[in-house]
Amino acid sequence: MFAYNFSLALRSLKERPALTLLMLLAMSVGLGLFVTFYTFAKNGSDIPHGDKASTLYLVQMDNRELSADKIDRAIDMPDTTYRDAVNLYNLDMPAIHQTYVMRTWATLSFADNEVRPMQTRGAATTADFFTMFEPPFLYGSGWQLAADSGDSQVVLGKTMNDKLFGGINSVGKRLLLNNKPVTVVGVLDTWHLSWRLYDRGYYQGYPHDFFVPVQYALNHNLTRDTRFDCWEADQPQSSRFTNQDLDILRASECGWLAFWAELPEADPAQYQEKLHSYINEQKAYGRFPRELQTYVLNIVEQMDFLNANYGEQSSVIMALLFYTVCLLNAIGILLAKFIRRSKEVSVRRALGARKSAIILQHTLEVMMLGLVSAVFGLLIAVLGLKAMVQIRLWASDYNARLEDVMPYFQLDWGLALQAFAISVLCALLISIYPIWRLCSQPVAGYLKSQ
Amino acid sequence: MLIMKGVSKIFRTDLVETHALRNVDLHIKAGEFVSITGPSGSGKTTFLNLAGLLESFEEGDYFLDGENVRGLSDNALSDLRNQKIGFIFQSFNLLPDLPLFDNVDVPLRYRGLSAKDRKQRIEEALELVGLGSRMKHLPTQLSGGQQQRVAIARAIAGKPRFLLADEPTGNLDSQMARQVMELLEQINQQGTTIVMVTHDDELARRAGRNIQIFDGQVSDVDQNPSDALVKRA
Repeated sequence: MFAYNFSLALRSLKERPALTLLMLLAMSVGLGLFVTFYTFAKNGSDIPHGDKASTLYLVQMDNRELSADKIDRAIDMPDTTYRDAVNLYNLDMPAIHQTYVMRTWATLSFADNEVRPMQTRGAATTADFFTMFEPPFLYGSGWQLAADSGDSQVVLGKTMNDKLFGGINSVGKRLLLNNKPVTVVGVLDTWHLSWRLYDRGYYQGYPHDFFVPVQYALNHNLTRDTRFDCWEADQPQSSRFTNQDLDILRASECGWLAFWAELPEADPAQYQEKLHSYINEQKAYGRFPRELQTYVLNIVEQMDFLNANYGEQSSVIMALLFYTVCLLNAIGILLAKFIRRSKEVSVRRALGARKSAIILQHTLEVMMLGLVSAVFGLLIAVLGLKAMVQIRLWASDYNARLEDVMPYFQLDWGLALQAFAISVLCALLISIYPIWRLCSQPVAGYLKSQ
Repeated sequence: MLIMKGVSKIFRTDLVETHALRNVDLHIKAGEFVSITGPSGSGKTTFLNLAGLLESFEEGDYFLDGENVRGLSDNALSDLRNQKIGFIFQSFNLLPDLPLFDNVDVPLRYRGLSAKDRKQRIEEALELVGLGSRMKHLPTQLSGGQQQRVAIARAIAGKPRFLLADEPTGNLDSQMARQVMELLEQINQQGTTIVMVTHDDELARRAGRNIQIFDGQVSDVDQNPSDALVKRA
């Protein structure tokens, strides 16, 4: 009986192909757009840094002047000043590791000019950064603690190593960083982070191409590609801090570094207590004039906030609403298609078909419809995601690289299977009313009609 | 046999209540050929729908082959229709996009017969109605008379005890109607009970027994089924 109903369902799909196509179109386009936006939202909301996400804490403290506006959210807090970063780093804080990070730009080249010089983005940090954030290494490792004093060492990102060294193990090789020789100590593998939080950049798809010791960056006055959260008095000259007046910057109350602590337990209370004592001590020097306000939030907590406030949920909801509208349209079309079959159903019922047989036949038909629309929907999603990659590249003025942007728009098998399940489930849902209508008609209702 | 005792059927809308059949008492014996006549709107088709278990009734009891069908579940009614009743409709009600073979196959499929058994029954039925060579044709490729013969083949392929025909010749010219009537008589002679609704007095006279329905009430014009039995002999 199943095979018979299956063949009937297949035949039903073929009859009135225009209606079937219309229904497929509605369901596929709706599903395609939903999967497109859902994929992007899901990939962009993954929590970076895996198991360590709950132990890596961003440390923030409000050192601003009294007249500054009140801050209610951690994301609005100023970065850490150089003084505080160095002080906390050297203090005996209850943390496993601590580090601080600044964004920078530099030109990478070779003395023989064999490769065209490349200006690219990087980060200046300390050796503990690699222990804390555990970037995947292809070759070598991060620099040793001793190199934090300002050694000319660099860790390259995979893309930059591919461009400069053709992807070979370049550990020990030398290159020029802003025309100054540096030695490669490590090469990272592809490091996809849904959000780049470690420098408070909150970027998606712009990984750093190199990492140097922060002291090296300061000694060689690498560009400080960051925002300077200064007191009002320092504000006018803050634009010069990008590559001038380093000593003034170091002594100022301008925040420009992201400070991180790795805490043994997911409980920052002890660290926060010590942080408060530090701030109270600093108050004696006329600093931290405002009421005590600090945030010690781990990556999970930050991601919760980012996903809730800056995620793509609204796009997903819009796509879901669109899919719902498409499904409502499909219900209408399905109803029209099934109602046209009333006479056939009457005849079959008169000849002995049970209601369950009629339900099975039509359920199989909509399941097939759901499967086919899933295939088309996924095709549309793949095309949609490709289009979104291009839009993202265009929106970045082609500063973003394809390989960095792609992971946000990649449809994985799990998601594809989910799409199949969603499509079939939705097809079944939208068929409930049309099938009920078809089955509840009186058996004799259409037998007299011509 | 088919026995109705005090069966009534009422169609209700918000405003109107129509008594389509009133207190019908009827006994149709196995092997009879009964014609049902009456003016339009008298309740002939309603009677046939009740007899064929296509509609429910409000009052009375209806015994089909000894089984009281009142209160039976929808599934049980479907099974009874499938196993004991064959239908022939005025408008043939063939499924237009199925070949003749598959049309005749429909009731057999729902009975769950094996493919071999179904094939044998379909071929026999189509041979009996003279369309054995056209099994792969679509209904639209046949004349009206031929289509009705296919409908008869479909009705008898399951070897039902009862054949219910609702104006089986209503859409046919007189020659075709005569052929169909001869076919029904032949089927009746093989033992199948036939109940036929018709407007045609000549055809009604050819049945062994004529029942008239007027304003939902049944009256037997000829209650002697011996004619049918004589014909069978």
